[in-house]
Amino acid sequence: MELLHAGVRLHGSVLAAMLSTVALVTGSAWSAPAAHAFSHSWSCPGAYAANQCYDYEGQQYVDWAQVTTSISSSAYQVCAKSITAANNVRSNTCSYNTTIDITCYTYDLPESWAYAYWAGSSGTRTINARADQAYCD
Amino acid sequence: MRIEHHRRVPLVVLATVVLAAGVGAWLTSAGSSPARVKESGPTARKADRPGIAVLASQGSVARGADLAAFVRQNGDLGRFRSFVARATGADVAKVVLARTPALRSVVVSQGGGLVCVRNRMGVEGRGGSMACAPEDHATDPATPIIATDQTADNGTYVVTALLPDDVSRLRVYGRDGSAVTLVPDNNIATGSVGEPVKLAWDTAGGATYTRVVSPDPVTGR
Repeated sequence: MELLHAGVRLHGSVLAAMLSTVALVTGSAWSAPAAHAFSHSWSCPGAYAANQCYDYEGQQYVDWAQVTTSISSSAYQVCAKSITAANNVRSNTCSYNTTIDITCYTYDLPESWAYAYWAGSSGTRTINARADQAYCD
Repeated sequence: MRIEHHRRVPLVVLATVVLAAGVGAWLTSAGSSPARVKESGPTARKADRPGIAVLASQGSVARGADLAAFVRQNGDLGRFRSFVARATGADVAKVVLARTPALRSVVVSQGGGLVCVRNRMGVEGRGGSMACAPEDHATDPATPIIATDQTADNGTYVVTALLPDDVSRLRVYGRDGSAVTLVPDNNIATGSVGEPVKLAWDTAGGATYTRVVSPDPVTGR
């Protein structure tokens, strides 16, 4: 009885270990895309119109899938872009009369350096920008 | 008795203060009444402003548009709501599929004081752009949401605009001298254009707004 009980215990612990392993493997496999989907945010307070707001703090050239620009108050022109090392601006996206502009790239993702700017009036704005390896939904 | 007298003094003072405040408020109100009348003009216009009709609708509004089909093609609506919430920090109260010309879908969302326009050019929601503005800006004929983005690197541009009811058309002037006039359907104006250098839109009331596209400070164009 004792042995049987121990055997059951052993069997249970093996089962638990197997389940844990399965959970671990499944979990790591499931979370792999999330780990890949790196994003980075940066900010440019007191930015004047047409000031370049580059992501100087993070890794510069990344296969970004989307770039978001958000400014502190509405402006005539808000742009979210990225440029390759060969100086090709990717998907030259701007929006007008807005506070948020998001450019969403397609499958082709050469490494690019994200930047943002606003234009159209005097004064300054705070630019909050983010680049993401995850595609827009 | 003396104590009662002391109690009466503060009561009298209090009554006087209350009376003075009341009279002051009345005088202020009376004095500002002409200003109020003046303010009632823009306020009334704002209330009477037709705004954006498509935002008053639910689900899909364009002919042939099918929100369910859109969801099948672009992923579930929950993910889109999450995307907007993540991008804007605002909860999406309403999502409207405004137009589906050919393979292009335009989605308008409203919530958290923001109106967003999502132009999806690729499959599964990839590609295209999204632009958001405060509701009072988006509904103002002077400041409609207009987005321009390239279909591919160094390719042509797609214009997607959410025009208030009062805006009758949008003109996009290209760098090559071309001009394309876009007429809104369900408040949405879309079209392919060359590299835009100037935008102009007309209202039913006869006003015309013109904006020159500022050059990219990085590329100089």
